[in-house]
Amino acid sequence: MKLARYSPFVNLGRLTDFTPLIRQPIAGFPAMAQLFEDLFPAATAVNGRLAMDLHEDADNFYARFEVPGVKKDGLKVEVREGVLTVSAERQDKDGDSQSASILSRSMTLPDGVQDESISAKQENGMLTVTLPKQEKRKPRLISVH
Amino acid sequence: MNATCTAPSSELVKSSQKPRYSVSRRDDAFVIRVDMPGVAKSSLSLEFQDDVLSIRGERISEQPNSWKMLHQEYSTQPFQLRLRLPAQVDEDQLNASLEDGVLTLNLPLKPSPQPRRIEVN
Repeated sequence: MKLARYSPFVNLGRLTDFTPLIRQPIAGFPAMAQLFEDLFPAATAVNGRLAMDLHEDADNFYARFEVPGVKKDGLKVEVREGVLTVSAERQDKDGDSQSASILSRSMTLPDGVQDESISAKQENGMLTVTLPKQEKRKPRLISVH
Repeated sequence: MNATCTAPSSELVKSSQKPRYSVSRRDDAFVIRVDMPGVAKSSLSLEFQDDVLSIRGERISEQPNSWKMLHQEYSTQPFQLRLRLPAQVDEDQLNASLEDGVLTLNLPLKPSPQPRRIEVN
């Protein structure tokens, strides 16, 4: 088995990337645009961390992570002392060579989250962690007499 | 809702993002892997025309309307990638599969023509 560092920018073979330059961040300057793209590849990792979005509705907070190519057993979601840590290990197999990469991300939980009821779901390469709000944090409608 | 945190409407901004991808060459095929997190099979389209393979994937139901965005790091624009395929790819044998947000394309190569032996009389 050969271990190789995961890099999406290898071995183009004889395929040509035909994405029109117009969609590059710096249109008209291919070298510059390529450099830009190498420095800031499309999402997935922000500074080596797992990219995250955070949403809320009346009942829950929702933290979502992009985890393409990560199997369920490569995902670890952990809550300790008010900090949520998600780590994702991706294993790619190509012929007889394998590569593995691990990205992780921690965030301080918002106030008023019920630690014991946190749940996580994986679908289409996205991980959604649902953080239920404590009753007292939910918006309450006060009737007017 | 804070206007600066709103994802751009696809009606207004017809833009897309280029996905991460890798290409590897086997003896008899090219294998392309494209990262498309949040894209379901039903929202993925593949087109092949004039040697150019176009891959487009829309993210499905990014979030219910009742969700309020608090923090955003990744782009929710559709993924788009166009690749010019070398002539020896057998496009009729092309097959694709989508698993865990990764699209894997298998592009078999046409068998190279065998040299014809000409007998000398």
